[in-house]
Amino acid sequence: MKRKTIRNIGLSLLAAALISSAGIKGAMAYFTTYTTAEGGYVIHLGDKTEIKESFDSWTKHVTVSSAPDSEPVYIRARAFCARYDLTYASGSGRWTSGKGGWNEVVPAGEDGFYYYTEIVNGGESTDVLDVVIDIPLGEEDSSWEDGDSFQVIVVYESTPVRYHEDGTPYGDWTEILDASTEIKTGGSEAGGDGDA
Amino acid sequence: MHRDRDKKKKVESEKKKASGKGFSKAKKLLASPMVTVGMFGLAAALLLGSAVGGARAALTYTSDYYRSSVEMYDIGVSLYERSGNNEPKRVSWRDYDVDQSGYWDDGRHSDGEGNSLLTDLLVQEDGTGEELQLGKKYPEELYVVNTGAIDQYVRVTLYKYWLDAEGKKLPELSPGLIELHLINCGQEGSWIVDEASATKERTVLYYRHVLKAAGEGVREEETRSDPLCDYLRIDSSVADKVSQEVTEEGGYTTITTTYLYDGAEFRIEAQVDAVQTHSAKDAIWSAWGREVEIDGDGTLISVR
Repeated sequence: MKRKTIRNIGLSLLAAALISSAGIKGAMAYFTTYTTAEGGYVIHLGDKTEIKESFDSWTKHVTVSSAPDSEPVYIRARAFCARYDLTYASGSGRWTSGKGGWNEVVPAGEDGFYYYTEIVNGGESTDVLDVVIDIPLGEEDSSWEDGDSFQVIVVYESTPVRYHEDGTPYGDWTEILDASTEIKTGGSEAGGDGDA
Repeated sequence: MHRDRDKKKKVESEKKKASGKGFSKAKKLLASPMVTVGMFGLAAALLLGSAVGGARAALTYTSDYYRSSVEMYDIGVSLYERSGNNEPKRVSWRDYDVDQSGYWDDGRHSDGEGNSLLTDLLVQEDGTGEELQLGKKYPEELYVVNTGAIDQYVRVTLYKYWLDAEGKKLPELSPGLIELHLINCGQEGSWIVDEASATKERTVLYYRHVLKAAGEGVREEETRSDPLCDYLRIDSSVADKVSQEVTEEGGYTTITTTYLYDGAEFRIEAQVDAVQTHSAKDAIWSAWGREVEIDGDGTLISVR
């Protein structure tokens, strides 16, 4: 009798579980679906540029080239000479002291730099900028002594091309890097992180 | 006379005896475990049979001279993208393909394409590509279309993050510099931004209106959502974030500058979820785990 009762109770519970599970199945039967998509691009930053100079007829011929994997940059250059005046010439007309997208910061002609108006992409070079040394007529023969020398120093700078919201390119020559700095001395670490 | 009476009594007594024996046998049989188990099996079979009958009840059959029709409630949803100045493109989808195969069609079986975002972002009008320009706004519209046979509610979950060259996530780089500009949001907009679920990486948007299934009397615009974004821009300040290593050795100081975001890949991920409109509150609670308020015309008022 006792076994019979236990069996009946067990079967009743099983039947109840079956009915309950049938109810759960109905409650979960909602129509759903989903779909996904993703994408992106790699950011390339950093540039490596190099200046090349040649000299003849009291003129320095300057070009600046950018390494193949560099990001696009703007270039500017100027020269210094303590003894003589210098004048600049650009056969292609792409070097200028004027103002444009390549120079939105410094008023035209006030900083002494000549700006290359075109974007220099990785692997490209600028046209030639001629830096002419103005030697007064006759001085070359009359006032120079043996061993006399003077220096003409050319400096150049590059800045990565930036874009306005509409895609218009510009150069920001005042850009300040947000840097964390680690100082190492003599090949061993001697400093920590800090803002520069 | 007495003999007749006794005989009658005997017959009745035998009859009673026989009947009692039969009842007792039936009682014994019914109480046997075999019968109990058999009856239980029958009950289970009946229960299952009733479920099968319910599922088949959608078939309507009229006569031999008329077509029979099966009404299938298949659901499907698609994500569309209008990138750059190009035509809108269906970039991913998942439809219950009852006519063709009875399986889910997610576009991956046929040509292996699909499910990629931003592929046309840098394609210009002349068909050539360009390098991504920092700071520039690139047109990027995303919207959802109901490509199933029943009305639905949809939500979109957007993820923004950075990966290294091995495809490993870079949590130290800021998702905030990836600007996917959201539109049609807020109180008056068609999309509700779920602020409670928002993180730096994730934004969840619920579309207020029912997306209708295409069919007779349904306008095309009722089957698709309003766009949820209009442009993508990578903040140009990513180019300012650098680390510098200063090495002093032999009287010389060498400064090595490393761009933190150089070689990093920004990723945008969009997931679209759709759910039926019938018993919407329960369906949304069951499928998405969110409580919603819905007004009389089926518009979502709030999400909790």
